[in-house]
Amino acid sequence: MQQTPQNHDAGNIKPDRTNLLWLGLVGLTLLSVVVGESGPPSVLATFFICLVVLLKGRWIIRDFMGLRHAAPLTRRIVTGYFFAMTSLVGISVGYLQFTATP
Amino acid sequence: MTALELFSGPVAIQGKSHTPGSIAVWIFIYAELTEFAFFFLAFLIAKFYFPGEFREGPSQLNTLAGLLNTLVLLTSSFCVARAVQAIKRGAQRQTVIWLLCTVAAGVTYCLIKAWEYQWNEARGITARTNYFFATYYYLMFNHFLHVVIGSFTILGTAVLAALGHYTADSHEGLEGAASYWHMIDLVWILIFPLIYVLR
Repeated sequence: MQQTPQNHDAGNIKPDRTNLLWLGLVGLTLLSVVVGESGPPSVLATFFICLVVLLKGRWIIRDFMGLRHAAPLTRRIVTGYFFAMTSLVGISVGYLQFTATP
Repeated sequence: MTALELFSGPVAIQGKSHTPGSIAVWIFIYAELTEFAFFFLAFLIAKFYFPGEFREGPSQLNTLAGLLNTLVLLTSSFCVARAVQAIKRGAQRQTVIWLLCTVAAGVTYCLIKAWEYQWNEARGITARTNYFFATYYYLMFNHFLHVVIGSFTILGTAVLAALGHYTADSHEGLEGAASYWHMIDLVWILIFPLIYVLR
């Protein structure tokens, strides 16, 4: 993956976008904690928290890691891994909450 | 799509796409992600076997410590992304400053972890308390080790940047270290709700 004059600033993020993304990541983290801690465990809250995790992961992978303009294989492996792991966690926790005896 | 296009991207051949770091770094990152995937699987399997312990466990943890560490790691990812942007502009001094901010975030994470472990110990919580805490300590300690390794890597990169090793046109090593650090943050984004929030 050699640097060339043509590609060395590909994937460069505008400074404003980086600030906004950081604010968005912090805001979503606080929101997910409020949702998770504000009431008894529920499938709906689990679903919402997993969606927040997926959105945060997408921002980090595409913008902070700079994989938005990366090779398709690299981007697909990292994105696919994160989607698979978050889905697995969400489905497992949701299933256990759904089948839990009160 | 040819194998070359898959690895370097169809546009890379025309000189527009760019994957940060080297192939070797990415193979290392994939190996680390696989390791964490096994930890997640082990945690979920244990959760199915001991649902009661795993339902009660998160409420006994120091959620504030987990939240603070999440914010610290998100900020560290922001700093390292800024360092990569700075070196692409050829701003060596700014690159070093952002990298040192990342190291400071890594140290802060370790200090918060130390506080969290002390907090647990004061309440009689250890790795032997039950299966939830055994998997909690196992996962936490492994992630902690990755943060320590990542902090030393970023520190080494900061030293090299200060010595003028990286330029606007040649900074593959810095990008590789940054990608590794982002991977540590990415994994924590899933660990935090799994351990502290979801019951």
